[in-house]
Amino acid sequence: MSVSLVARRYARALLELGHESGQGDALVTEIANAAETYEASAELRNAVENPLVPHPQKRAVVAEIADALGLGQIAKNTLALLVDRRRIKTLPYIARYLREMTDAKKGLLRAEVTTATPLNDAYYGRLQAQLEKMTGKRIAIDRKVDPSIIAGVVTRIGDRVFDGSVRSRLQSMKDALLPQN
Amino acid sequence: MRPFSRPRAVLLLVLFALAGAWPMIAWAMKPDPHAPAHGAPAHGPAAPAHGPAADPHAAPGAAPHGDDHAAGGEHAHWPPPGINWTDFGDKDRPPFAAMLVNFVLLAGLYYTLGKKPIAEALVARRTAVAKEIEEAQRMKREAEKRAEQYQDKLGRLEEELVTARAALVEAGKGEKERIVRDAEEKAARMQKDAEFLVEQEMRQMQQDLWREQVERATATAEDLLRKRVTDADQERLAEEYLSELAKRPSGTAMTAKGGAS
Repeated sequence: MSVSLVARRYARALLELGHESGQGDALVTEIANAAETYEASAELRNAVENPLVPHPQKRAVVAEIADALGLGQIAKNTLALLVDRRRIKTLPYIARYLREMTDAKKGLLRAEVTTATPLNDAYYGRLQAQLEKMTGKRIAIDRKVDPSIIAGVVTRIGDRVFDGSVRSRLQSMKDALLPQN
Repeated sequence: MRPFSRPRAVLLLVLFALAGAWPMIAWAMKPDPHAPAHGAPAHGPAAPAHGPAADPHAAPGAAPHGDDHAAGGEHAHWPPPGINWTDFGDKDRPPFAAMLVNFVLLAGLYYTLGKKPIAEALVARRTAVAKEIEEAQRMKREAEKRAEQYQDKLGRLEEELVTARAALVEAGKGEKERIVRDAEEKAARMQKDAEFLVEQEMRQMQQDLWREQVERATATAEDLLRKRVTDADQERLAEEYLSELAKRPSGTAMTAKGGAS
């Protein structure tokens, strides 16, 4: 069974649990934090995925990290279940699908806004309003800082990109100057 | 010649054997002169007894006709008896008539059996000889014709030699012209290819140089921008980006990789 399919099933179950418990947004955030931690730490991945590590130790490690992140009971149980079922690799996919399903349920479009340096909150508010005006839908903005774009703003909504970075302008200028083969 | 069939051949062999054996059988049936049952009366005047039993005077060592006869053996009679022409009862000497009959039968047999095959064989042989003669004559005529041709060619040999030499010289001239023409075409083609290659190389070098210059320029520009962009520039660019978005009509779907520049 593909990782994507498994992750969708777990995400759908978590969405229902969050809806029943009334803690849907918190659950989304907690699962996203856990997935971010999991992706960021190679040692954690090695400890949890290594078949030579005993299963109780894996559960203990995951429980300790959940406590450190301040996760709720549903998120803790989810991580333990993933360890028991040896599906912990799917955690980043579960987090992404859970966020997409939650946004879809709320009628939200998630926009990833990338800037070279952090901008003030007022700007993000105006940008969100402008994007809502353009798309006709409610927009939730995920802020991201990436110095490689040099300056400017890049907005990604799904597979659509609105690129206003200096890096893309330089690339356009370079493409215009280079001979077309 | 058609061979005899097997039964017919067997029959002929039997007939030949009987014809040839008859005198011998008659000779073999000659009574034994030493047999006691045979007395003097059994021998007629034409067949006098030669043995001691038939001739009481022919005792050993006392030959009736002298010492010469005794020395010659018991059959050495003189004068010899006359020819037996027709006496078929004489068992000592077969009659000449019987031999004659034998010979006539044999000759008739030969004639009867051999007439047709021998005639056919002779005819075939004559035909074959005639064909061979015709073939030999034809070959002779052809040989004479070839001899005439060779003689004619020998007579015109010098002329043909001159003609062949002229043809070879002409062909050599044509071949020379063709080789020269091919070489010139090949040289022109090679020159054209070389010019094309040089042109391509020049163009490629120009493009490479230009590409290198552009990449260096953009890299330098990027470094300068990274060093010199300030927070004020960041805010100004962000405001410009927002203004670009605002210029788009409401509900306009954004395209992939759409730029605000």
